[in-house]
Amino acid sequence: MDILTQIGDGFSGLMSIDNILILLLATLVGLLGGVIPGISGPMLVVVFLPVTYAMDPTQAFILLSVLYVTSVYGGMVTAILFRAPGSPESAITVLDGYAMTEKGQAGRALGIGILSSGVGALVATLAMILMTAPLAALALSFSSAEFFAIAVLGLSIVASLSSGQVAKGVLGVGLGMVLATVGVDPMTAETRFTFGSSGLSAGLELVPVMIGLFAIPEVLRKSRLANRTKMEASHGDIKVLSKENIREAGPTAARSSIVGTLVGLLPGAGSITTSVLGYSQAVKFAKDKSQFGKGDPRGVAGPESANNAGAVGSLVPLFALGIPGSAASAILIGAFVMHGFQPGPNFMSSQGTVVYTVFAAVVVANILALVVAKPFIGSVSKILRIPYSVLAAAVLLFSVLGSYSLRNSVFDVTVMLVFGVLGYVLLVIKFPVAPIVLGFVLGPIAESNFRRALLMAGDDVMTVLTRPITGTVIVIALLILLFPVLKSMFNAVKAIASRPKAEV
Amino acid sequence: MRTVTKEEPKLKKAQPAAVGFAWTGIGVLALMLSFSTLDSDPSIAENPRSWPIFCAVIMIAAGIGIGVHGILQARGREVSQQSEDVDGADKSGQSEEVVRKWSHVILFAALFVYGNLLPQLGYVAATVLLMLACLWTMGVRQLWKLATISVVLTAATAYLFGSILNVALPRGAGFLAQLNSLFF
Repeated sequence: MDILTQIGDGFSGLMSIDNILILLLATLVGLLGGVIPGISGPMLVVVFLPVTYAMDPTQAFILLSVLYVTSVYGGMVTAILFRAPGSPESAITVLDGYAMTEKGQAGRALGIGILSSGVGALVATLAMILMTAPLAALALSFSSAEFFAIAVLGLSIVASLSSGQVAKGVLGVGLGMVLATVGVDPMTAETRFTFGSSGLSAGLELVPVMIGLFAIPEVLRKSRLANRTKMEASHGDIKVLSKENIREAGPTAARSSIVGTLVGLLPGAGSITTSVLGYSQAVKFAKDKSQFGKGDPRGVAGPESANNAGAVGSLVPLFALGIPGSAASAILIGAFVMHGFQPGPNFMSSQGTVVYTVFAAVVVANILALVVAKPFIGSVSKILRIPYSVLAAAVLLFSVLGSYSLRNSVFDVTVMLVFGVLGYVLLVIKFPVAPIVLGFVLGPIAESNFRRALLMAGDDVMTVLTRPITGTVIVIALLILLFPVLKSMFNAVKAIASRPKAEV
Repeated sequence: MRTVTKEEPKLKKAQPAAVGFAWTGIGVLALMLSFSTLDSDPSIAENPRSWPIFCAVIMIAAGIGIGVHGILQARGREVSQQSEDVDGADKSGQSEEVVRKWSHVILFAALFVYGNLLPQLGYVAATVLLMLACLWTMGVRQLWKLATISVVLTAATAYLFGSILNVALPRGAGFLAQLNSLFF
């Protein structure tokens, strides 16, 4: 009942002309950004961040949250029609989505994509509304030691899931955490790694680092390439709520939505991971697996419902614990801090109306995206005629402005450029950026909570690590990290054990 | 400048072992800097070194892991068949054709020069020049398009950020300051 009252307050908070206009704008821009290959959700959020500097905080959070959620929606359109995923979350949709287009079933694939995205987003939104407040209430009883453990769990998940090789993820997390230590030590006020620079003494700001890592590398990469993809396609009639779609894709969409929501809830998992898991479970539960990769509608429903659910689900740890569930929600944390708020359990209790207004905005945006998706797809070919050179110039300009206007400082523009080069090198060597970003955001949370817990425990590490919740979460985090290693060892032992039998 | 080649950057072909040990080197550097530039305190909680050292050790261990994995791969003893595709990588299977080999370097140089000229030229003049350079680098050749897009983007952002969002954009010196005052 309390949740109903609060969500009611959220909807009434949303009902102003300004808020509705921002919501509409964000939904359309999010869909548009999702459709255009080379404009990812995190890039979109980071590019729009400076626009929110002068906004009312609630409006700023509506804009950024809705942009993020709806950008995942749009990604499937170009994945299905042109084999060019508009967002990384839709990369796996290409497998069956484009195969359906080749078979002349583009309209059907898009209809299933829209339906599944809507189901995923709405299931996760419901879970977000129901779970955030209880989780935040539970977290109110947590001390620094528990928050340290949750941050470590998030870091271990992102390290183990973001790349094929765990070591790369761990290294990225370590690098992000080292970079986050630049500036003033939170406990002793001593400066670290500033080398006498006044710019560095305030620390590396999250916004220029994010812009550098997400926006600049993609623009630099695409600036070299020819855009040979023919962005013209006839998709025929798109039917969303047809009996055929519901029968064929409904069960898969429902299962993947639940999987996506649950995985999205894990701090650090992110929506890219969920789309892969959504596809895997679609294959796993199918009786006839032969058509996957050749245009099976369930191959569209699985990842599309899961990635949308994962994107919304990742907002839960953000609001309840102050721990980002994905790279884009890490940027949202930066936006909250910029507006003077610290997301987490106290934020839920002190700024409940703001949070529920954002939730209401996400609900409306998801419904709106479902409604406008069909006519929107009709105009995609026209949208994609905008030359990338113009978009890239605008992205670069917003990147510079976003970095500069944070503190009216050219130093932050330089930081953005340095991280742009780093991001480009990482892109070229195929090193995952998400662990660095999450290490950068979660590192200070883990450090300050760990050291505070140590202070309270009289500098005894074991006292901190053997607290029931802390110990359990740390063990889970270690198991998550060690699982791939243990799995390969198990496979090696199994192979050795089976060898004599084969020889016999 | 328009040379067509397949996208196979040299770095992409770099040996995974070498990349791993390069990362280890960066971790070692972070460790050395932690010891040489930060004060120490007997209490772990109040020691500003403890956390950076912990992070550097993680980097070193992971860098060695990547290096060893690379060596094992090179010897043909593949320890993992997991995909190396990561965030942002092209998973669509489309080939990418490089038509402007140095455009990323030129764009970066343009941004770097822009950052340095911004305080002197002010936002409007510096940004028009940046936009012209970016658009030209990315293949826009018609003068009217170059001029229109550059001026419109600059004017729109100058008005949005300078007037509506009240960001203190650099005004530059002399007559350039007067030019900027037309927008914000």
